[in-house]
Amino acid sequence: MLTAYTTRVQRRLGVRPAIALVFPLLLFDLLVFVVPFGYLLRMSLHARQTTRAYATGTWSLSGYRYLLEPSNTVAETFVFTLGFATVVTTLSVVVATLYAYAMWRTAGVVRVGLTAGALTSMFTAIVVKLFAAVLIYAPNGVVNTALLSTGVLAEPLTLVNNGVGAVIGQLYIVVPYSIFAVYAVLSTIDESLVEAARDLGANSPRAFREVAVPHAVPGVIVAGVISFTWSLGAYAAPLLLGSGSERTAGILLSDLLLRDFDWSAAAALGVVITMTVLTAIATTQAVLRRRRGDNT
Amino acid sequence: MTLLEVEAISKRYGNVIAIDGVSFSVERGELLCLLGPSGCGKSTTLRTIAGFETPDTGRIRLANDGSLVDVTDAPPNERDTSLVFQDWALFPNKTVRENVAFGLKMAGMSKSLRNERADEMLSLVEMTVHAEADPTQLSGGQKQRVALARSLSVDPTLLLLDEPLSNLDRQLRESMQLELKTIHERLETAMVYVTHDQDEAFTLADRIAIVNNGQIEQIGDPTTVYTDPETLFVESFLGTTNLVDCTVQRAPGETDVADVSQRVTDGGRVPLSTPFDQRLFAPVGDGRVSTNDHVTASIRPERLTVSPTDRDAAEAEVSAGVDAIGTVDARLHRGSQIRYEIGVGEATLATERRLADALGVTAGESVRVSCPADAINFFDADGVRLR
Repeated sequence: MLTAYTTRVQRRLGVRPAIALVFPLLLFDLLVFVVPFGYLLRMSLHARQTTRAYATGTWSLSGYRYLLEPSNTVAETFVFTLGFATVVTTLSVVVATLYAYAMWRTAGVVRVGLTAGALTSMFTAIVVKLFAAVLIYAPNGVVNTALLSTGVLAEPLTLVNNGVGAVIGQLYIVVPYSIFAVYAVLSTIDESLVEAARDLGANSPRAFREVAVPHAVPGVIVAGVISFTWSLGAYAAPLLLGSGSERTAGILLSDLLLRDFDWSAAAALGVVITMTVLTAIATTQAVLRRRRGDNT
Repeated sequence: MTLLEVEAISKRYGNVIAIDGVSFSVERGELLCLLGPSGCGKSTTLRTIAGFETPDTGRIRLANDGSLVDVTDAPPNERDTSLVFQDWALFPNKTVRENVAFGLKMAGMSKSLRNERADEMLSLVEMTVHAEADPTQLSGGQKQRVALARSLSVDPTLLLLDEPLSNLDRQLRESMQLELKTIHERLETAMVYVTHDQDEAFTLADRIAIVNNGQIEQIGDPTTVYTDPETLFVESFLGTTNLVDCTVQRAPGETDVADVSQRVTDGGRVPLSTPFDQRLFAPVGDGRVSTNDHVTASIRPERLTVSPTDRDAAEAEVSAGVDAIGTVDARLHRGSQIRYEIGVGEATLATERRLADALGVTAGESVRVSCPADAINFFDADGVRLR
């Protein structure tokens, strides 16, 4: 059946079988990504209008001009978002790599427990997860109560309603995905390689650095891309666990869309965020390709 | 001088007993083979010596500055042993030279010194030209050499080898066996070598430990374990043999003077009924056997004599070994050997002859089969040798 399909596509479109096989995927991408992005792009090119979402039928760059207008502090928001995404990405990659390594090195109940932990977090709805984080990290929450009662702290730590809270919240969203990205690569390492390193005199951290880390690099990069692109569009975590000053591009976009009813500017911001994400992915791919080239 | 002392180690995983009270020691310059079928616990024993497994009970002591030091709880990186892995475990993102220099790097040796030493090791295993190569691009035999060089470069007290040749084809394996032997003789590094291949064990070993069900059945030099086995397992695992099920007819002390053969069997032997129409006489084994006990007689194919039926029988009769008339059931060509299966009564005895020494018999022909008594080993129902 598949052969019949590929021959048919080949005959009609005159393409090679490999392309024929990815054709349905391309079609899917076109429908769910390229077409809506076209709509978004078109919307961003409408003139802004105070009474309505946008001036229908017009062509204008006023949405983009709004973004560049210093008094609107869009640039500040964007820089903050980039910084926020960088911090989250760094922490996410470190935590995920260590967690994935632990998952890979342990066995039996411990491994099942670690995997279940990551999976449960991954499958918990974001809002549930974030409200749970509020309860845990609030001044009278679990963490502070424990630290105060054991006498580690005299004053509760402020872990919510600030930048720290926003980062913690965002980590809860991206870390599970990062863990599995790293784990997928780590699980392909032959465990005897680590044993060989240990046998030749490397202690446990050294064996990790000498054998696991070089092998895990592609997975770590994927984890980084996931964390970064997702955090660039962060919305729920900074909104629920941050304060008013943790204003990300996502929050700004939502305000433009729902509060200011300024769809042209919102669409323009959406286009800029999307392009930033695509640039980040393309850069990573170029770096990865060069790395592969160096190895051979 | 003793370099390794393994004292009564045991290891179990859930309900599975991997090692069950194994003890042995290795002397300086010695190559000890742990030989046994897969799953017998020989690899677990090796991994326990290397430090990858901790025994539930028992101790492991390793020579350090002239005295034995207990290393049972020490991690692998703190033991002066080096393991050559079955799949060689070469680091894929390092060059061959970096692989060989790895242990020295971990020991903190400077780059120039460790590369010098690595090159020395690579020349020992004739891999100098591949120093810059990516190990994933090497053939199995080359990987094996690099793995050996990598382990030798740290100059371990004890080199451990976990079936290092099992992934190679037969010809390469045989030439590597000889090369390993040469390297061993040259460096005099003590080695513990795990294998399931008895030819390999007999080629390489100074001593062989036959492992079965997590226990050492017998340990000794190759000739002794082959010709003077302690247990039925050792007898049947090494080489091929004919096992004949027998039953004790009369235990010692029970008199049956009417029996003619008793005259022959004096000296504490008991008569056994055999599946062929003739009796054999087994040693009493400290009185362990009694009437109707099962006893297994093992007759090595190479000790069987096949002759025409009209030959004089008296000679074998006196020796109280096998001397029976049988029929050639099958004559099988197996490369350089011909295998004859001879039906004698209810039993089948096999023997092999080189092509040049082929017996002039064909299937269906009657022959006289004989074997001297001293060439037959007897084992009691628990598989322990009767002496």
